[in-house]
Order: sequence, then structure tokens, then C-alpha cells
Amino acid sequence: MSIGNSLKISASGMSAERFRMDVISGNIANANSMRTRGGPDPYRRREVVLQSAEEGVKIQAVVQDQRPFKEIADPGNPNADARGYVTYSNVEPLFEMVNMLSASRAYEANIAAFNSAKSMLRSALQIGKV
Amino acid sequence: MLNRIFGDHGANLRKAMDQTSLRQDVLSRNLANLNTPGYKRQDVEFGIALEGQMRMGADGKPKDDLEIETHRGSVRVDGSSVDLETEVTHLAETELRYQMLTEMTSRYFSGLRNVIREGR
Repeated sequence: MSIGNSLKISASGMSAERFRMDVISGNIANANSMRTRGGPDPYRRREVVLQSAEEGVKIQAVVQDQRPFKEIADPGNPNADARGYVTYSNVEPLFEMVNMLSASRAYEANIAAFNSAKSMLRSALQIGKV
Repeated sequence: MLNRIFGDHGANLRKAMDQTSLRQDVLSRNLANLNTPGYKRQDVEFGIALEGQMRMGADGKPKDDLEIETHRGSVRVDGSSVDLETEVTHLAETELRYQMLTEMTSRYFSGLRNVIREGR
């Protein structure tokens, strides 16, 4: 039963892309989070690692970006350190926008594959008709 | 006599439909892995697959093996060889091919019915 398989594969692709989209939204939402005085580090950018599998694609891990945080001179800010710098998260909004577009296009491509498998299934059902 | 009526043609159509739906499967997997770094796209080459069908096995029957090819060449920075346009084009082609085969199958059966009713 290969066509049912094909539907499952497309569904796995769609859910992987949706998960990527969730993580990207989290990154954008935290783009301006900063280190509070004496508090924990600001938000680290997260990225999804996808891996191919027999049943389509699976999410292997969510990894944190280890690049350095952004430091912006703002001595008036209550969260500034002794040197007068505020530490912001290492999210690059432009980069996230590009990833978001790629995830959304990949999602659409999976929908196209799903619809095509569906129409094949429907035409197979027409064989027995008069 | 009946074996000949129900034999070859129906079996060939069934095999061709099997192959087409396998290809649909493989192409869907390529699309699901559109953003997987290092993934190599796979495809069922119809020429090769058909040749395999025509080759006779040791028992005098055509072999049923379907060959899935992996394409190693890559033009993308992340090492993946999936190309969105190629996949979607092949997908559309596969869908049409399958519709053609279902149409042929149902015509085949309606022809049989015609024979059974002696053309009435």
C-alpha cells in the first residue's frame, strides 16, 4: 500500500516544517531579550536539526547557537554592565526571516505532494466504476 | 483461455501502477527532506525499472525488482541534492502517468465486460 505511505511521508515533512516555524517564531520573539543585571544570559538562538528517515523526515535535535551575544553601548540602561554595555541575544532577525520563508515554501511543497497522492488514490478508486 | 484473457495485460497494468506509486513515494520523501542538509535525492528511473520488468528471472518469469537510484551529485551549499522545481515537475508527471494507467485499466475492464455480454 504505497500511496498511503506517501501520504504519511508528506505529513512528516509538514510537521517537521511546522516545528521549524515554531522555533523560528520563538527566536524572533526573543530577538531583543537582554541579560538583566546579575541575571541569567540572554536568549540563545535555537535551530532545528532534521534527519531523513524511512518514513520521511524526523526531528533529530534542537541545538543552541553558540555564537557570541550582541553587545550594545547604552550606559543609561538599568541592565548595563560596569563598562556601560547591554548584552542582547544573538538572534539575527534577517536570518530568521530567510529561514521562515524557506520553511513556509517547503511546507507548501509538501502540501502539493500530499494533494497529488490524494488525487492518485481517488483515480484508483474510479477503476471499479462503470 | 481465461488465463489469457485475465493474464498478461492486467498484470502489466498492475505492475506499472505499482511502480508509479513507488515513485510517488520516493518523490514525496525527497520533498519532505527539502531542508535536510546532506540528503541525497532518490528516484525510480522508469527506463531501468521497465527493463528490469522485461528481464526474465531464473524461473522464466519477469523479475519484480524495482530499483531506487540515489543521486549523489549536489549543487547546494548544504550538500543536499534535492531541487524543488525538479521534484515538483516529476511529481506532476507521476500523477498524470498514474491517471493514464487507471484510465487504461478501467477501459480494459469495460472491454472485458463487453466481451462477457457478447457485445450487447
